[in-house]
Amino acid sequence: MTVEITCDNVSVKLGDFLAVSDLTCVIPASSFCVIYGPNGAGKSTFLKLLQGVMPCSAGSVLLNKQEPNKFPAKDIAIVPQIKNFDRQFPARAIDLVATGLNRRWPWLLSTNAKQKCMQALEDVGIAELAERSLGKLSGGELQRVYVARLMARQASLVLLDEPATGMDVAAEKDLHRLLENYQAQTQATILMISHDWDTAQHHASHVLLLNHSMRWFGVTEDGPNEEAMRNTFGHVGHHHPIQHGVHDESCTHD
Amino acid sequence: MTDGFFASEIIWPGLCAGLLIGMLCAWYGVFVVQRGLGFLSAGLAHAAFGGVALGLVLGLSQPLWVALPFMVVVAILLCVLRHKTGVRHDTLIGMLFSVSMAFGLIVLQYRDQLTSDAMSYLFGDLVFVQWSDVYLALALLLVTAALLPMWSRWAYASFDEELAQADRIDVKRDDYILIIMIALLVAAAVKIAGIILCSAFFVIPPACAVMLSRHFTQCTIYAVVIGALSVFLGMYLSYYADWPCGAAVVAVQALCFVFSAMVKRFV
Repeated sequence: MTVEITCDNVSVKLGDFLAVSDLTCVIPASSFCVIYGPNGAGKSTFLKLLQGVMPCSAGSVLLNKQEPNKFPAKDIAIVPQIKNFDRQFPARAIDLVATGLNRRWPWLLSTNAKQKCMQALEDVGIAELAERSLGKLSGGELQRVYVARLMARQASLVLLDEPATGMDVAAEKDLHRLLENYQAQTQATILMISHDWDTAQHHASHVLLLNHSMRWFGVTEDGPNEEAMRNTFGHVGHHHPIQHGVHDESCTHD
Repeated sequence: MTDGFFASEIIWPGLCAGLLIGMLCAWYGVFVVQRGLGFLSAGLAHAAFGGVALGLVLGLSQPLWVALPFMVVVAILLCVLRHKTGVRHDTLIGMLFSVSMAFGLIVLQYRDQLTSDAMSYLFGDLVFVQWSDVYLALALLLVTAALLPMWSRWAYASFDEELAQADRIDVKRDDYILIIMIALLVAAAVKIAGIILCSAFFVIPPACAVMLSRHFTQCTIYAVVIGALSVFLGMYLSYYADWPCGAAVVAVQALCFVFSAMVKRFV
């Protein structure tokens, strides 16, 4: 299955605070869309909307013409930004991957489930860490476990909230390679929040600039213009390709 | 020596109720400990005083039948306040247990008889347990058995609430069920074993199990086994050393904790 996301005048209020307003776009099926914007711009709120755990205050979001909370949860996989769990929680890497299969914490793993989890861990290159406690994994290893979790689920919509936070350059490259391979195999639609313009430029098919309201949306090659960047961040970064007319320069906007 | 312990008729109701309560508290205790709610059982145990006092003022011979619904109300209030105000659990528990105790003291002013029985009710002793208490523990065991499928949902939310929510687990509803079950268990455990042992049952066996286990299933099983074993060994010790029963059980649990810490450190 492929997933098209249709947002029509979407607004989300968190109490009195308007986190997202008037967002209208159609993110095509099987696209890799990077959501780019400053801190507190409503990017994570938008992902929660797509997960179906938060309602729109106005407008509508449709995943293949279905409201997100009616869209099958087994077809959505998330990689959260902040790993909320207690590092002392007694859990192995394979247990977390298994939640990708069954959407429940595993009491016992069947042989079939174990095989699928091991395959997913092998695909991300950490099969040898299957039995290791989550608390003993490095940030990069943990991120791979989350990627293995989404691979085990075989979800058609993948939502990643700054997945490269805390990763070194090599680990980040690996992450993108894994995601690209996954997309090639499954035709999944991938949405990723990133603060790294380089990520958008090199890996995304589409870019959504968000600062509460949508500032720009389109295919990456068309690129947001200087005005859109200024509207989003209040400035254009010193090394921004738009300012220099160079397309493979990288910059970070925080 | 064993013959003397097992031949003593007075031991059996306490041993049966203690084993059941020890295992049940440990079963729920793994979630209490993993969610950082170690103070919950102690707080709820003290809040039971309000229910017991109300039951006594209403003239009931078994104030537990008022304490049980009273504890359910306190548990629901805890969840509602948590979700509506966003105030941390430990703060709310501290507030609710003080308010419940104050309520109990005020209510007891309207009772002609002495209030010492209200206090003694809170300091139950495994030695003085009756068969009716065993049936109460058995009823809670049956409800827990019916709720077995909740384990994987509670475990998932204990690991990461947001991840569980994203997988469409109704974490809020599940929290209500968990806290209500804990409240009912606390009301029964306070009557059967007393406040101190009740708090220990919820915290010490799961804390030992966390140190000994590699995954959450193992942790739950170890906690239940340690909960039961500590009751048996504690009562056995109490019988022959003539120690207070509750204190002997807590002493065994403390030894289990030291042992678990050493295993974690050196193995």
